[in-house]
Amino acid sequence: MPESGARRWARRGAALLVLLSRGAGAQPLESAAAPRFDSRVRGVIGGVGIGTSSVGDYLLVALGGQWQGIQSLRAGRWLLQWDVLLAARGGYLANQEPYLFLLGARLASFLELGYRWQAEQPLSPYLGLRAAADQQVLGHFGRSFSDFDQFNSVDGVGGLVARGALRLALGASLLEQERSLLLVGFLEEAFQDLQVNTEALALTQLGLAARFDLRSGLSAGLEGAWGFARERQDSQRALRDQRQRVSLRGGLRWVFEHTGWIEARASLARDSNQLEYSGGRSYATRDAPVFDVEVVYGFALERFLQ
Amino acid sequence: MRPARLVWLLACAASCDPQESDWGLGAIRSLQTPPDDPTLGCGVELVVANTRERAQCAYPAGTLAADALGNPAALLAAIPIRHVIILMRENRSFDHLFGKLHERGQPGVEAVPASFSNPDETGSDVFPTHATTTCIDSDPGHQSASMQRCVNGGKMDGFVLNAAATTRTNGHFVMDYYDEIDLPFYYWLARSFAISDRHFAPNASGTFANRAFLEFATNAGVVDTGIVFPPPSTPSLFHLLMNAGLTWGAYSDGLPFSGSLDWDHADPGVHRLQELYDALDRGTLPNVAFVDGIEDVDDDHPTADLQLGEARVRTVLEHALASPQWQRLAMFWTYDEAGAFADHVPPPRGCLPLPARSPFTDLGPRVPLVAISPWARRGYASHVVHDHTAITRFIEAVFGLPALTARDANSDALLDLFDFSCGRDLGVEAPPEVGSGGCARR
Repeated sequence: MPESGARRWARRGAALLVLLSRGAGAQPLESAAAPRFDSRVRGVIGGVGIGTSSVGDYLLVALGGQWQGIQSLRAGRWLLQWDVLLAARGGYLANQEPYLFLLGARLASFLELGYRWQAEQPLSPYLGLRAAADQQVLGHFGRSFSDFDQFNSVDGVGGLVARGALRLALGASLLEQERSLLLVGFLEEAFQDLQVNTEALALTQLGLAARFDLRSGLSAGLEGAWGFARERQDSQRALRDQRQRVSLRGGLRWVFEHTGWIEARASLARDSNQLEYSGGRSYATRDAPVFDVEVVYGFALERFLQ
Repeated sequence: MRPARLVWLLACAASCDPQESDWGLGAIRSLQTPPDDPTLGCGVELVVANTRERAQCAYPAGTLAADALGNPAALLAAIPIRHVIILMRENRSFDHLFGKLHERGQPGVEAVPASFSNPDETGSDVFPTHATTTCIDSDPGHQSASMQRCVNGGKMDGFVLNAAATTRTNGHFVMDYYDEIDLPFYYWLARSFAISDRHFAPNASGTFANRAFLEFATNAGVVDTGIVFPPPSTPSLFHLLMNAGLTWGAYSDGLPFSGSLDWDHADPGVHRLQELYDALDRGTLPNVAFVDGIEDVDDDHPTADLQLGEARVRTVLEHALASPQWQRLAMFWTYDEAGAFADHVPPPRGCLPLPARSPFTDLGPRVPLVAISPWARRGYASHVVHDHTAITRFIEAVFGLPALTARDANSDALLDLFDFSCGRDLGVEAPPEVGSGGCARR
């Protein structure tokens, strides 16, 4: 009887996990209780980020605090990940000349709680639930937020930007004394608030994510997603349109032995739109891709690697 | 790595530009212009209706011109125009180009009041003066902040101060005007065909926002020129035309639409000017042609020589007059915005394009607009208030297309500039030569 497609992929996935774990110097899989994995860092951060957007390139610096970590709980039954950033943020948005100086604050956070079915095994199926929020308020001296409609669009960067997401992740967790590896596929509902020139957006996203942590302080993550918004009807203009997004983002963090940590994050995304006129044609448009790179240095107030 | 894959990757790296937007308009490359209906001709008698409703911005996006203009759709469809050329020039106000038109062949247009002046930095009054050159070598600031300073709440007295603040001059040059000695061809156009003396830039700002109103009937998130472009998914006149099986083309030897869409000659629908001349000569013009000059060379934008601009427009007209499509043609010669050159008429308010979107209802200062067509009223001066979305509405009216926003929905469609009655002489006298030597005269 031929092997089914799903079974074949499951077998390949398991083999990949084994290869990855061996490649990283892991011990062979054992039937012992998974060891405790705890990597936490908290401190004062300073960062600089550059990026492109549909409303112009930007250079923003941040100064604030960050608390992030990954921790196994209940003898490896649960895995908790979190990242909370609260920072003053300011810089320039090149949406007009002279460039627009913006200053404000950002609160970005996520919390993911995952369940490991086989806590006693280093390798276990994993089910995670994540909530994420990213709020940013950037203003311009001498102008109220309502004045942003008098400038070239600042949507997505200036003014009040509120984003959020709920994610259901399913995959595999490898948890050992020295390292943790998560490989998941996810289904996510991402939200973005109404802005001056941009409609509120709710994207249903499907993606793959990987996160690798070493107890010594290295953490690396990579995820890619494809998402689509609900079709929007414009009855006055007899058209409907639907937005899609492909995105890729990754990060690398290294916690130094004594002083603190350094982290680099990058993302790349591209939106496309399908406009369809009732009784007319349809048009497949694509925005220019946008990317973002941010480097953060953290001075550790608390550092716990176990 | 296989050689074929390596070749593919190298080819992609060389040809793929990830920074490019894609407007999804590739179908225009294969769309054929429908043949003109040979039965179209004179005898279309239009009425002026619903002016109060339109003044109150009563019509929303999607409204058909027939409903808003109060003329049956069948009557509008019988208008004998199947091709529209929009010759959009750059940055000149009405008073700046045609300050003497009232005295020089077109008494119907409003004259510049003798009392009109602007204070300069010393507090002295600066009155309109005959320009000493057709090559002005300073470009006054003309984005939104500058234009607000120029208009000054309707006092129209901030032009000189703005120019002084944004150029290395005393700013007096923005009060300059030209006459028919400087610009004989432009003056001939203005007095021979139908001119509007109440045509305003749709936005008190620069090129990008004002041109956006022509193509989208809204500024589409763009206020000042230079960096931000309308999103490619913005509903546009291009979409409306293609939905109806109609064609368009953008013609320029510089940047199409003066760079306002970030397009270049690789984009669908973009052509060189020679292709416009060839299309006119062969009778293969698309239904709508957007024609732009070369930046700062022959597009009339300072520091361009206006007489070079005259020559460019005259060449287009020569090909149009000789074209087998002349009898089906309407050309609108206009300017995207006033470029912070002085004008004495306070801009009124326009309709809000889309609720909860762009708040811009303040029009910019007046710019020249002349309708050139065998069907244009000869020697006519219109005083109906409109902006560039009236051109958009004219196209929508002729081709039976719905309005993009409330701005074009409530426009008058420039129909008073035309006379489609029978028995008229549709011939055009030979145009004069363009001016010369104006650049050297300082």
